[in-house]
Amino acid sequence: MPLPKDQKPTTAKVAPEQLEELFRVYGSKIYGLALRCGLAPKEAEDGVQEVFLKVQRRISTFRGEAALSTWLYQVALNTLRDHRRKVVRQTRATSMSLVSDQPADPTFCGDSATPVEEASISERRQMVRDALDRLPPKFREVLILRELEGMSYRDVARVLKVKQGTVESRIFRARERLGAELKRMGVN
Amino acid sequence: MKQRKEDQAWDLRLSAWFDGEASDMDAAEVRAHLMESPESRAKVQQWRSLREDLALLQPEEPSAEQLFTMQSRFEDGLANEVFRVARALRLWNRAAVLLLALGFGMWVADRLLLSVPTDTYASEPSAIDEAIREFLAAPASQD
Repeated sequence: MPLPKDQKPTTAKVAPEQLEELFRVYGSKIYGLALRCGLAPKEAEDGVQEVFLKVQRRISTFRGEAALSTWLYQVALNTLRDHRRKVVRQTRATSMSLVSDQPADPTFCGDSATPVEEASISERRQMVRDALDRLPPKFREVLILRELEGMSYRDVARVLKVKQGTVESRIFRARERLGAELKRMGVN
Repeated sequence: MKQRKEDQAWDLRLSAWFDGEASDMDAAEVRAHLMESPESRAKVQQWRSLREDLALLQPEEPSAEQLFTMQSRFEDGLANEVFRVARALRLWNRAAVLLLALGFGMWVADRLLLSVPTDTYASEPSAIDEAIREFLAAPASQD
């Protein structure tokens, strides 16, 4: 029983096959979001599982007022936020390395880059990650949704349940804060 | 103060334009503004650089193997969840049946075993008086 993109489920109960379909369509996107939110790959996998289990519990509350993807991102962002908080707490408790110590992605470690370039890119990526992590959540989230998820202002506003004007000003302020943070860290 | 507010308004318009969210008319105005304002051009350049930096955080798509592992974990989690819910429902059902049986048992006991006879004799003082009068009025036995 497929559940096409952005379609509203017609009944309160969703068959397991529909959930599996939902996972097939959105699983990798939510995994990507988890990595962009600063979770290490293993933690991101746990986060994805939590997100979809929450979706399974809450799908009956989806009223179809927004697109299914918007609703899913709302659930995902809230769940991943909690998951991230939990991981950071545990990390602090066990005095281990930070959540995103491990590079979340090997994107720019392709064959074409020399080891020196790779190291430099990796270092820069870590600094950008750290700077982003230092932003207050409301600024970090708008930047992730806009710059990394490529969402429009309208969609960001829907996912975060704020006005579009708020998104506009938050994005501007988030860029200013991130720029200042990177400057402070000595990143040109 | 007024100048500052105007600058802030321009910053927001510039930011929206940078994100491709400005209307055609707004975009034309912003472009004209950029021609005249080196500060705004520097700002846009800085945002471009930030965008490139943020792109470093863009992860690769997960591999098919990774997706399969995640899907299996999710299905296992789902199965566990269904099992937990089913077990909770079964427990609730049993508790409900027990409660019903207990209630029914108490009702039966109340009706059959512990019931008080309804036709009691001389339970009222007036009835006792009446019985005494009848007793006294009756002729005494000869023996």
